[in-house]
Amino acid sequence: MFCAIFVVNKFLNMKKLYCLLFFVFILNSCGVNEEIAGESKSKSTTYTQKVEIDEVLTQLKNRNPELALFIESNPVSNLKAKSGKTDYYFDLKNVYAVKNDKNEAAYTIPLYIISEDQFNYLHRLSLEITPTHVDVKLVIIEGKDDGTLKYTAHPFNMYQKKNITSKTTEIECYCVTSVSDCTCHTTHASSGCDHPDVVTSCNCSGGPTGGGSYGTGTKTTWSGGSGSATSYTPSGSGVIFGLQKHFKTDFTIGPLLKYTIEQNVTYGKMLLDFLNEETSTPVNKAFVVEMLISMENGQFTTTKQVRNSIENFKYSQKSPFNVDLSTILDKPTLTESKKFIEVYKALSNSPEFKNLFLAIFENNEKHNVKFEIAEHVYKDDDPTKEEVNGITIGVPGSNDIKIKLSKQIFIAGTLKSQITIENAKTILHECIHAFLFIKKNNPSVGMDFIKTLNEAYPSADQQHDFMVNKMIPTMQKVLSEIRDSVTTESGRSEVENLTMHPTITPLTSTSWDWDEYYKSISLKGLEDTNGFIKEYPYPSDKFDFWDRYVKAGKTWLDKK
Amino acid sequence: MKTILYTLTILFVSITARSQEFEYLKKLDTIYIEFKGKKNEKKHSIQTRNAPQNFDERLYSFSLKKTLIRLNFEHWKFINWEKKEANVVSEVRKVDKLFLRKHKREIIKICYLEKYNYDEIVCELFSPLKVFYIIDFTEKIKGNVVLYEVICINSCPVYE
Repeated sequence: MFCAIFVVNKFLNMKKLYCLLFFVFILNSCGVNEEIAGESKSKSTTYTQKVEIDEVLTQLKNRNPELALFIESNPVSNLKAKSGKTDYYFDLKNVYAVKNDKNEAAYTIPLYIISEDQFNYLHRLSLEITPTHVDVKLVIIEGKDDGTLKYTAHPFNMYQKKNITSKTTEIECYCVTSVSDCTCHTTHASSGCDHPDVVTSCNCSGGPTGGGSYGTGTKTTWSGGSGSATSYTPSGSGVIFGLQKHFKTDFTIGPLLKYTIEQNVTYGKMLLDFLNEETSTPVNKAFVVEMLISMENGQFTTTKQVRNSIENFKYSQKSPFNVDLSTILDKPTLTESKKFIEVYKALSNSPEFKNLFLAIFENNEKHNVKFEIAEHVYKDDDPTKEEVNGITIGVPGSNDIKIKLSKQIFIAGTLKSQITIENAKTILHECIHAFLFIKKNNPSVGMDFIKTLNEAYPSADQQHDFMVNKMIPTMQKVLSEIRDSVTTESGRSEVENLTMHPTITPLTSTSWDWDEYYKSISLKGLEDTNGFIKEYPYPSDKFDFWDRYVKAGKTWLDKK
Repeated sequence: MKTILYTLTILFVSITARSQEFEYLKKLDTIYIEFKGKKNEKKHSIQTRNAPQNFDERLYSFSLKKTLIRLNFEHWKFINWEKKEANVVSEVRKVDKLFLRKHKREIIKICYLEKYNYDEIVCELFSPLKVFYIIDFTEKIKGNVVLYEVICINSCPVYE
């Protein structure tokens, strides 16, 4: 701090001594900016910190006991319990203060107003307490359409509902200037610091990271200046306004929900990100509202729960059923989990996959299907029986279905290893199995595909007709839609350069046919069905040709 | 009575020995298959690529008489993409009688497989994790026979 004292020549005019204080705004002359942190910094003359409500109330009780009592008597927990009789409720656990070395403090207490009908407003009670006075203001944070926040200060009357007709001060940003010790001694005069590091920080724009939203300090001597927006601590204002912007008038985030979001900013941001990425369709908005209400009811205790709910919803929108991938999402770093998600993501981008049951069974009822990956999977879920790639089983006590896939198909170098497109086929196969299972009213745990198919289509002709005319063509279509996501470009180039031989004696040749390949892998797993046996008798050239297609794809299509 | 017992014992020992042999073969990393050009053993020259490769690609096909199982092995220039990336061409080499004697237990005569079913042969014995060679006895050069590295085209049935 610069202090210059001008002394008037005592021989001519006796003048008062003036001490002029300058605040010199030198930005970052040494390349180091000290941002104002959430915690107190003793070196700064102005600093910010989170405080206990008792600190505020202790000071206020001596100066404005009525207000102190009002604040203490109306915590936000009363709003939750609906036991309050006022329009105002205070979050007593998230009080912040900006203080200086003159024993002055500006406190901000989040405030929730029952009668608030403006969905894009948040409120703070601002209390400036100095040795000589107490200044109380209702600060309104308005979320603007351009993504910025506008702060205005208004009178506060605890006995009246919010009245903002008379504004006292309109402040574009809440700015705090921090003057700290110089941090660049080595580059300046050895006598020490001759220019302090001064940072002016303003809360101006929305979002928990782009700019904090709790404003402090209404005194004009504390505000002004300019500087880039800085975040103090994320308070959720940006998330609230972002969500409300999506909802528009369809849904208003009430005071309790605003409080909930401000206490669970991470969850709220995940929901906002979801709407930003997936767009705010009516279905997506309804889902977010449901999630917000669950948040309000305290149903989420971990980020994982929220993330899994969002992911399951997203995938369910693009699947032929309501899908639950939680057990796989819970272990995202495992090789098999990553491979599964890669494949399922590709499938969910296929329009034909979403309409799988409509296409095959002319039925679009949505059932609940849960996927799991197990170390090994056995026929009929019985470890004494042969090992299989996957099974479909009913969940006892419900109409839900569980599809268990073997980890072995996702891992390279095992006897059951499959390439990516083959894994997509396996998942498709199990989805169809699931529907056959449901169609048969969940006959029993572990009814395998062949049995299920035989029961659904008892005669060989019916089965053949179903497979040839419905099931295989639909699988071919899905696989063609996702081909580029589940094969590599170099792999595709390899197979497209292959010459295939439908017969050996005499030797006939054809070019690679993608449809023939999709059909070939779709038939894997159906070798024991009447339909397959009829179409591909063994031994025959046709059977060998089918084998060749499967082998060729397996050899090349995952080529890096 | 003694003769019956004697015959049963021989039969039992023979079956046990063959089972143990199959178990031994299943555990091998490398298997050699004998090709002698018999009636149920065919060799065909094929090309698996659109563009000529200047490589003698071929198909070896074996038909089991009793079970009608058909086994196909193909000799490609590169047996997988990793080998192609590394430019490791499929092996073709001459081997002598000493080699054949040394690897006697790893050499399969196709007729040996007559008593096994498709899954046992293709899924357990000829699993995709192994290396296969055809010993082509129809191509003898100065007392040596020619080995061709091949892949088994038959795919193991999938249960899902």
